[in-house]
Amino acid sequence: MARPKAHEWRTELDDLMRGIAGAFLFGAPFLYTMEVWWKGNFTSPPRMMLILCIAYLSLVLLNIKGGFRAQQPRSYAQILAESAEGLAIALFAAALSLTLIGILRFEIGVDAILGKVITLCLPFAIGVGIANNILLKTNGDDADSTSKRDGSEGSIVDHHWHKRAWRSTLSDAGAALLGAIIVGASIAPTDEIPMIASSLSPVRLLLIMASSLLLSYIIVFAANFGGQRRRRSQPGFFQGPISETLASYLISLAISLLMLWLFQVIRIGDPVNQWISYMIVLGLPSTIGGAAGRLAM
Amino acid sequence: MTEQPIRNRAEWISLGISLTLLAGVVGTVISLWLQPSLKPAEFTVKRGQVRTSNNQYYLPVTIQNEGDATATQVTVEGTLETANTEETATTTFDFVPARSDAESVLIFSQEPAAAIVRVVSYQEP
Repeated sequence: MARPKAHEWRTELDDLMRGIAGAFLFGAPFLYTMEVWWKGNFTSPPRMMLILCIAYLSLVLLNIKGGFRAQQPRSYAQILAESAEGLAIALFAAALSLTLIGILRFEIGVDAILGKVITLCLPFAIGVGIANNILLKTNGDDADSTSKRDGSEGSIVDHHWHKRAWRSTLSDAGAALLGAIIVGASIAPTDEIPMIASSLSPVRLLLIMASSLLLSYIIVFAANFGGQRRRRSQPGFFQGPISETLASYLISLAISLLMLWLFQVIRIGDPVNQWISYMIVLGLPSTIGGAAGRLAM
Repeated sequence: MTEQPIRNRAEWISLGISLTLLAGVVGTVISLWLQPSLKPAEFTVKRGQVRTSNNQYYLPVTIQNEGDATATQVTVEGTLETANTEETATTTFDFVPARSDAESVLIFSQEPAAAIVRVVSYQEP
């Protein structure tokens, strides 16, 4: 209780954002799987309880070594509390993302809503549970990068700045490109893209774009993730959080378009609004893939 | 266990919100469990405003499942008998959950005011 208040809130927000990022990194392909929505329609209440229990137990097991909170090690009570929070994050993220892509609507009835959210919350919960393992670097790495930065910013910075800027811009762009291709290629040929896109209004498409940008930003920057401090100190077009998020979103959209065309989901001559809506719908998982790619660098 | 399980107020608040959310979800699941679906699927049909385009009549139809059970492959048929012809328009809903609505449009070539619209079949999942 000795730490200043603002710091506590900041840490808590970082932890929660890390949990959400983990959920989407692991769960995005499941979100775009119609069988997950479909099975959710017929899930009986006992089965829902079983899924919730399995999700909670997985979180307890994962939280012993992973979890989404930066501070470790923890007591048993903390692990149990963190698992409950993790499950709530997974349910929240599942409900929000299903609503965003228009699968969860009020008129489908409470059974179907619960069934879909709970079915999807299982992969999301596992994502929350492994959030630290994928996203958080240890303090040792941070110290290392800090000292490296201090050393390099000394005397010859101006001389090498342009060269480094080009190299790191290219490597970041390449990482985003590869991540987007991996996720985009695996989702582009599926029927989910036309299914989701056909029921979306223009306002919804704008919301999906905003969410894609926000998720990409959260995953790479907002929550003190792996390599993030080093990343901020790198020169190049990808150095600023906003410009990097925007640039990698544009890359993801371009890759989405290419993949949709390659897999003949859209053809030359199809209406423009179909091209746009398909691209934006596939852009969401592609951006998450791109963000994961930039993290892996 | 010398450490406090929850370290500060921010963590208490997120734990509180999490537990509230979980209690809501688990509570709803249990209440669904305790009230098992007894009433099988039952449908009512509501007609909307007819619009015309290219000499075709578009009749919007809303069906409501008033039962406690979900129905799949719900087939709606509209029949229109005039002096010398009989016309049929059908549509199939992939699935209509318990106590929910689904909308579709039946298309006729003549004014469908006298058409009889009803649910002719469904499957139990």
